[in-house]
This record gives sequence, C-alpha cells and structure tokens, in this order.
Amino acid sequence: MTGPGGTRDGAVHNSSTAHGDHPIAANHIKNVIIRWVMHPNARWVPLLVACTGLVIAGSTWPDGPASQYTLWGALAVLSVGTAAARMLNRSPRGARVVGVLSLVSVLAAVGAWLAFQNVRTHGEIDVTGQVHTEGSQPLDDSAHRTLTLRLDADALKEPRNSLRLTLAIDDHDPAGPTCLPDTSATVSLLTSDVAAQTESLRPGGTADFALGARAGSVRIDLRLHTARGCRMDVRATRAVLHDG
Amino acid sequence: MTTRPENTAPTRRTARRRATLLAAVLALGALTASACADDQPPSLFADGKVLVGTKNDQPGTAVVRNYKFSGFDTTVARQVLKAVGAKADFGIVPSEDRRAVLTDKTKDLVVATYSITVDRMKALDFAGPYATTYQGLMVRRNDNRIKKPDDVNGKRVCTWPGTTSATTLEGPQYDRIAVYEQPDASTCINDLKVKKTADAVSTDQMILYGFTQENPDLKVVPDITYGSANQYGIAMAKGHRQDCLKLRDALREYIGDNTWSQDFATSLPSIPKADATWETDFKPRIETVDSLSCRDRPRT
Repeated sequence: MTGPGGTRDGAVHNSSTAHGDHPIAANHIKNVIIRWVMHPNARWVPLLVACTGLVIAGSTWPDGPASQYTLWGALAVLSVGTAAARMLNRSPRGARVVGVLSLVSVLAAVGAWLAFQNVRTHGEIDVTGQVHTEGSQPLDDSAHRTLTLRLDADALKEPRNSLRLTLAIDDHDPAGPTCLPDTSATVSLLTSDVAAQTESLRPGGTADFALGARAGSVRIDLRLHTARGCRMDVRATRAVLHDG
Repeated sequence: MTTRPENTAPTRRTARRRATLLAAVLALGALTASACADDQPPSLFADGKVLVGTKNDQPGTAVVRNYKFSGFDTTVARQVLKAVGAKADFGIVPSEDRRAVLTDKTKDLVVATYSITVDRMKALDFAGPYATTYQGLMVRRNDNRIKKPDDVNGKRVCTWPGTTSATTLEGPQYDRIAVYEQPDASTCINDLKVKKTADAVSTDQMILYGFTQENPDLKVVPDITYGSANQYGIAMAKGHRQDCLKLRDALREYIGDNTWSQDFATSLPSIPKADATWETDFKPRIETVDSLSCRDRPRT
C-alpha cells in the first residue's frame, strides 16, 4: 500500500485534476523534483549539501559570542539530522517521508547559510584582547591622571557601528579598606569623525558608544572618581563591536 | 440491605495503595524538608545571648575597666543586639585572632574596629560600616617636628600586626618612613611615651583619638592621613545571612537617628573637640551600609 500520490514501486506521481497551462506546468516541475528526490543516487545529496555548508562555515568562522550562533546551530543540526535520516530511510513505502526529509534538509541548509551570513555581516565581534591600555595604574581621584583605552585599525577591520565596553574597577590592594562603593569612572569616546560621547560607569558597568559608519581607530579616555586616598585598578573585561 | 458491587474489592485495594503511596511521598517530603532545615544553622540570637569578641586595650572604642567593657564598639554591639532581642556577652580578642574566633565558632560576632575589606568579605560576613575613619598619626604633645606628611620621612613610626594600618604603610609611596611593628598597641604607646624609641604611632584616627583621652601628653596630627577610609563592620562567620540582615537593618536605624551621634560623642569626646565636621567624617552613609553589608563582595 502506498500513501496518497504514491505508487507500489515507491515513485510518486502527481495525479492532477487541475486544468489550465500553469497548474499543468507546476505539476510537471513538481513531478521532476519528486523523481529526482526519490532517485537512489540522490540519497546522499542533502547530506553533502549540509556537510559542505558546515565545512565552509567552519573555515570562515567569524568568532564572537556563541549566543549569536543559536539560530545557525539549530538549522545546521536540523539540516544534517534530516539529511542523515533521509539517507538511512530505504523503505520503498516511505516516499512521502523521504521527500519531506530531503526538502526540510535543503531548506534548513539554506536557512543556516543565511543565518551564518547575517552573523558574519552584522554579528558581534569580541575585541577584548585587542584593547590597549595606556597610562600608569593604580588610578586615584586626581584629574590629571587618566587612562586611555585604544582599539587600532586591525581590531576594527570588520565594519560595525557600535562598541560595547565593560570595565572592571577594583581596589589596588584588596587587603586594604575597600573603596568600591564610592568609585565611578567617566569614559569619553574621542575618535575622529565621530561625535564625542561621555558616559559614567560604576565598577563592572558597561558603556555603549556609537562609532559611525567606519571608524579607523577608537580612543577612549577614562577619568576615575573615588574617595580621598583610594587607589584603584581599571581593566576592560569585555569589548564587543556590534551593529546597534 | 445493600448489595456490594463486583469491583468494590479491587477499588478499595487501589485506594489503599494510593493512600500508602501518598503517605510515603509525604513522609519523604517531610524528611527532605527537615534535612534542608537542618542545613540552616540556628540563629545566633536564638538563646538571647551572643558571644561578642572585642578589644580591651583601646580606650574610646573598646576597653575593660573594673571587669566592664566600654567604648564605642561595645556600645554599637549593645545597641544593635538590643534591637534584635539579644544581649552581648563580651570577650577579648586580639587583632590577629579576629577572623579565627569567628571561623572556629569561639565567638558569634566580632565588633573590634574591624575594617571591611574585599579579601575579608570573601571569608566573613559584615554588617556595616558603623563608623568610618582614616588612618592617622599620633605624636607626643610637646613634639612639634611633625605637622605635614613630608615631616614623617625618616621618622620611626610604630604599628602592630593584624591590622590594615600596618599594610597601608608597606606601600612604596611610604618607603621613606621608618615603619616598625610591635606586638600590640600598648607596646607602641609605651615606645612613644615612655621609651621614646618611636617618633609616632600610626593607626586609625578613631583609635588614636581614644588613646589621647587617656594619655593627655599625646596628640593626633590632624592634617596627616594615610590610605583610604577604613569602614568598621560587625563581623560574623558566613552562613548566618538572615542574622546578618537583621543586624544591618538595626544598624541602618541606629545610624539614621540621633542615637549614633550621642553614643559616639559620649565614647570619643576628644573627636568632636578636635574636629568640627566629625559627623561627616566618622558617620557612615546608609548607602555604604547597603553596599557592604551581608555580601561576598561590595555592591557597586
């Protein structure tokens, strides 16, 4: 017994009752696709497509936080999974199932590819390790002692229009009295072709700066505000380029 | 007379099985709940008496006279414990043993000019600060050689171990000061006052002002401070967060009304005499209490 539209040998043919040129042409295309999908030699094609996509993604992996690859990962797993299921399904009765598995696999592979390209073009780029710090530490409350954080052109080669910066501010001597409750920092983006921006941060806080269309380099000046006698260490714990 | 339906016996057996199963589940739940409840240590205030470690050699903050404890530390301990329905049973704790007496459960609380630091917050819980003070310098009253920070260069300054005062002066910016340690505060004061082998004694200004109350021939140099402000907290072992939060709330109320100022001026009258802005300088802000109390690291 076969399912609707199926024959005893497992091939699927459309039993159209529609009339007119367009439905007939559509049914013809559909039948060609179904024949191709059901061809014994086409079993491995969806898996090949999915695996090729995985290899290309792996070789051009743009890094950044793992969370942004969730959609890509889900679609890739779906694509490989359905392709493998299609390969393993040799039942002559499962013509419709095989067709659906092939279709889902190819569509998921296309979706994964689009999701991957979206991450490559607009995804977040972790540049924490490329933040250069200039100026001596520990810092105190004096206005003339500032710290400069820089990102050079190499870190900015992938164009993104925003920078999210998280700063850790700690007591220089953790065995001494703590100054954390009375400490904050003013961070100012001073980059050519971008309007100056200033934000105030508490220890562990995050600032988001708009970088414009194409920033060649980024300079951020930091001024510490703390109580008398306090000496603090500042470091960038996370710097992420993103399209805001 | 009623007739019994054919399936009555199996239904009763099923009901009995269900009841047995339900009872087992409830018993298991009760056991789990009591086991979890046992994980919570009993409240430090449960029997109304709390073992409090404090100092005995710091006039103004904590001292023993005629077998009675007095000073601002002991007053704070009494006030906040009264607010939570308990009484303090004081015992003496040297500076270097303050952490150990809490972790080995010899004392429930330590209220002994104990500064809150990031390192100490990892091992202990603090309710505080209940007072804020900078580290300062005390000299002989008739010694006018030391008036500003540079005057201390080359002078012998005595400190004692187990305090943040000793570590602050170890910093490279104080290399030119001849810092040395004695076992305790009394020995340093003796070196300064009697032996004159020390030119100055350095620790928190609050403690130094207390010493001057019993040693009129000594004075605190007002314009010399070192490092950042010390925040004194009520310390306890980790694992008593609910008790800690109760003390924090009691402390917030205590600082928020006039009682704190009255008690401070009573215990340390030398400070209001010497410092016109003493309330601003020594009274902590409520926000700081919230930032540092009952946490593993300061809230920022």
